[in-house]
Amino acid sequence: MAKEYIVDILKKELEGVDLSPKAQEIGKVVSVGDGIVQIEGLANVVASEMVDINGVSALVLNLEEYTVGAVLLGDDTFVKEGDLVKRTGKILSVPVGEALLGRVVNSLGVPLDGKGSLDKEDLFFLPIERPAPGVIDRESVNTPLATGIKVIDATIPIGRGQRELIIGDRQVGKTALVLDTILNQLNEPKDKRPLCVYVAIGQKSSKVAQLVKELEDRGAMEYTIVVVAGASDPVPLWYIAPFTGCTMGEYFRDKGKDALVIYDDLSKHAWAWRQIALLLRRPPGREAYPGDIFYLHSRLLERAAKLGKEKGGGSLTALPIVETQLGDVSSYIPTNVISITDGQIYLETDLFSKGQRPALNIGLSVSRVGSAAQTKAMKKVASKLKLELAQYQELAAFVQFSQDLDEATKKRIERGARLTEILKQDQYKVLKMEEQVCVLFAGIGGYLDGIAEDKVKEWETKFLEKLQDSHEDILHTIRDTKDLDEATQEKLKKILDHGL
Amino acid sequence: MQNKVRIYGEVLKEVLEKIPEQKYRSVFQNFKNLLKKRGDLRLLSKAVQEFKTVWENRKGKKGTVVFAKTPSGAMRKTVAKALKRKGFIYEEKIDPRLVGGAEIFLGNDYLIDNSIQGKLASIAKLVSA
Repeated sequence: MAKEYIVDILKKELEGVDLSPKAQEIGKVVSVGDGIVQIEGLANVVASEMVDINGVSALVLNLEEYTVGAVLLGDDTFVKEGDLVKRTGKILSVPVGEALLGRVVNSLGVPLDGKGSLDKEDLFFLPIERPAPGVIDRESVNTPLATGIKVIDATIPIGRGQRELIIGDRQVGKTALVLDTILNQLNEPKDKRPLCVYVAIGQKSSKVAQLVKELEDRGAMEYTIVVVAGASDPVPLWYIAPFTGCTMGEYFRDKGKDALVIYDDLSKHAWAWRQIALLLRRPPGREAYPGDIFYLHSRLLERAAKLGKEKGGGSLTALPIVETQLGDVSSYIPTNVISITDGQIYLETDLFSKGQRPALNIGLSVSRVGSAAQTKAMKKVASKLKLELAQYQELAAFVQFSQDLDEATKKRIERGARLTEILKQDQYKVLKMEEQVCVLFAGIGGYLDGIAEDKVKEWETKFLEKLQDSHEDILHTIRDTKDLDEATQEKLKKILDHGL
Repeated sequence: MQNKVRIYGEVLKEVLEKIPEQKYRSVFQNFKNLLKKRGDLRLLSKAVQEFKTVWENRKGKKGTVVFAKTPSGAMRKTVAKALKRKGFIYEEKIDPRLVGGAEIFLGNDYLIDNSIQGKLASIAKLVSA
């Protein structure tokens, strides 16, 4: 019975599959080591083609007169000198489609979550290296991508289709920030919700498992794909992971949907490419990175785009993460990625240790295109907020030297301190756009001036509860009109004047 | 540089074709000295590799047929004839690991795999994908 059942399954799987013998181009392994194979033969092989060596796939990267250099995408202990290498004729492709949503896969699209194989009906294969959309196909960024984090949505807004770098030392909350961004998409209406792809490159499996659990527990996995190239996986898998994630996101972009892809992190990706390039004996450049390290990241990030209506109007937003060493943003990889992206969110260790979460340095962070996508309501509160904060930061420096300050300056400093306090936000406490607008409106309106700094958070919670319980119409109006009109402002003022 | 390698390989083949086997060793020594004199010693291994390819192909490429078990006389005759027609020199090997069927290696460049082992490997790949 069991035998018949298995045969039936196999028959179904192999329906229409052609197993007739065909001439295959072959080569021979000349040397193998550190995940790199040198192959003799394969005269017609093309770059980025997959070859098969004893069932282990390898990606062709170097084409030379007598040998071909390839990186193994599996265990190199199965490969030895003299082994037969077969051409597959296929460029490295990965599965894409709706079937991947909610799944954890490796860089080749193979499921790792034990939930069985991918649903083949909703699955397509696309090459990992694809050209970025051309100039004509693109449109300016015009829709906001809400992160749910006040300081970002107000001062460094991100638009759908933008590439915004998240940069900072280790343990400053870079992953926490992107995790919040994914979770915040739950607040978006289902039809407009960006589908998220989180790419973990060279990360500890325990960290990824924790992140997946968090996403699952909060119901965010249903619109998320997690691509994992773990710390113990072969380095070539680290190298292809962001391209895999990008291809998966592109599928949704090209279908007219919005997608968000997070590369965590590109520093490790650069290390992986450096290792492969050195082992392939490509000439090293600055910091031993190969000469094409800039092109590696620029061609990846250029695929993030907002497409025009003729192309379906979809978008792919990219949030690459780069880890700095001791806050050095002027080293090679950070400067490269800063120049490629449309802005950066700079997280600082000092601010983190002072208790500011997210530890975002507003002065060094910038969003070059996102403000065009900000809602009217947010723009109204954000412009004043930025001005107040800039003035506060300038004056705060003087406070350290002088005790004699005039009333106006003192007031400005007090206001700034409270605004800084209100921009603090704990992890997993994402706020909807309308809630953020109301809180910031209170801050810039001076309604927090009479509240002690350490009570600001408490006040904020109470204020939001009050709005949700008794004044939901205000939140609805802001959400629907995306504006903070005079009438709504008056209503808010009335509530704030009454006190909590 | 690659043209140079090709020329070295061809020249070595032409020289060795015209002399008896006993003199091969001295010719190789002279060849090495020549490369040293011309400052091309670093090309030695590539030149030898190129020579190996042209030497092996000088009488026509080998068509190696690997059977799972000893073929019948008629089968052998048919396969050998078909290979000869395509310009290959027939060579036969037996490898029971193939389980059934045969593999045909056309020179060093192509393989026609009609063995049970090959088919099972393809099925395994399809099912696990």
